[in-house]
Amino acid sequence: MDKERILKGLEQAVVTGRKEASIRYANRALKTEMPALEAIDSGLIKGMMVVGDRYSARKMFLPQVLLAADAMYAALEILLPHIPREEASRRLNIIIGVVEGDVHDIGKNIVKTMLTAAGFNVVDLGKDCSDEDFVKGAKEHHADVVAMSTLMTPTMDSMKAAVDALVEDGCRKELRIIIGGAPTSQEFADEIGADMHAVNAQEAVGKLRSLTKRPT
Amino acid sequence: MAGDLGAHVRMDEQNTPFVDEPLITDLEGYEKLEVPDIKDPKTRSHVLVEGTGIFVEALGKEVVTAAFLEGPLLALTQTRGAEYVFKDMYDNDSSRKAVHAALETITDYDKEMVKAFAEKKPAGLVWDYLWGSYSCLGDTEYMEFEGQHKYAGCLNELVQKEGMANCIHNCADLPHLDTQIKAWKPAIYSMAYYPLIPGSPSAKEVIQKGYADVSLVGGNIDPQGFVRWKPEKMVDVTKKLINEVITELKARDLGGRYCIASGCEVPPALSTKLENIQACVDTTKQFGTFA
Repeated sequence: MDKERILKGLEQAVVTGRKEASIRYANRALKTEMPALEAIDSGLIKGMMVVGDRYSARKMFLPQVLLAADAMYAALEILLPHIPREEASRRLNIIIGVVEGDVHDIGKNIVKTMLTAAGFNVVDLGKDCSDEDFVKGAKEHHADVVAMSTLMTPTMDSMKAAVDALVEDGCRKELRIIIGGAPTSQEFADEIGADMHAVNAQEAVGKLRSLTKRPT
Repeated sequence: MAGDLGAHVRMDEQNTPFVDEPLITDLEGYEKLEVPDIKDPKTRSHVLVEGTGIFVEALGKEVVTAAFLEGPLLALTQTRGAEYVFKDMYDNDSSRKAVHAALETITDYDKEMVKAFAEKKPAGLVWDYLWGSYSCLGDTEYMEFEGQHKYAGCLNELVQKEGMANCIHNCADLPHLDTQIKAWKPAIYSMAYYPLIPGSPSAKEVIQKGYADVSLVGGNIDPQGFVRWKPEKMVDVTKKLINEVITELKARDLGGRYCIASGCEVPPALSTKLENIQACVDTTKQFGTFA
């Protein structure tokens, strides 16, 4: 199978949300000795960008986006171990989670998917994450960025508590903090000491792309 | 509802209750759902119905009372987890069928709840139909999994048949107003406004596009304002909204069909300031009428 066909296959598998197909094409890519990074960038990510654009234009909705994300992750699991270590270490490390007391994680998952598609190393802490989870996660995964989300008004205070915990621990100065979720705003980000706010996944990608990795 | 179906609901002291352990973990789980016995005093459904009765008896002659109930799709997403339900909708034919089987069971559960609430004689019943949002589902998806007659359609009719005003709450960012207001014609429609989200309809747009001709539309005040603002800001925001609404209502020669209110629940936290609620109500009483 030629290279173009594999890349197109990966792209289409993501766009149509077919996990089995994305796994098949990812394995074929490796079998033909295609660089894993090329399969990811020119196949999977290209597909996910199409999905992101269609979602923004309301031509595609959450069920299709979530199935597309599943297809992308299934292929990434196969391809990521084959990325050269130096390439992976050049990417920003992001930890992402929904703050304590909130279990609404679809928005966070969409942001995670689009950040992954944009080439960041993303570690998902999950939902209902305590202050300690964010501090521990930031240290354990050498985070450059901490991303926090909440959908609910009562749990906005948990965001402030998590930022305070990062400050108290001392790791805050090494990090950029971005927040998102329906009740949040840049004004609220300023109020709690976060660096950035994003209205949606595309904006989060745009804002984080402008950051550079700190020297280690 | 999810709790009585078998999911575990966590009730933190100062937070909205939420499901932390969904019941359905595979496709078979959808088919196994059963309508709970809502007359069992141990169920939350029973507590809700009886609580509504107490509320109506105590305040029914002074204020407009309403029962509150989750629509079938919301109850299902809480029972399974929203992300799984959305994927199962279109993953394959079996999963799609399983989702519909569960929605049919929950619709039957909703019907029993409507009838039980009706016996307590509230003036209205409010449906929480929040998945009718373009940030989640398109028209086709929403119509298949909630909007069609065998789900929300027949539930809306049942509420009216049982003598209650059919009302809808949807605090989503991009609500399906054509379906939920123009097609379903609820007596009251409660909604939120997200100024940062492109396309989120403001009070002005809602009135201009004729939705307030059909229903009494209400909401719009940012719920977090009740926690975070000072009363002076609440007065300013409320006045601004009143001016916006009155200007547009006058332009359409409607009289008065808009209710100044919080876009979603006033946060159930100790940090919510009673003086902010008072400021919103007093400002509306003072400036919210026009000749």
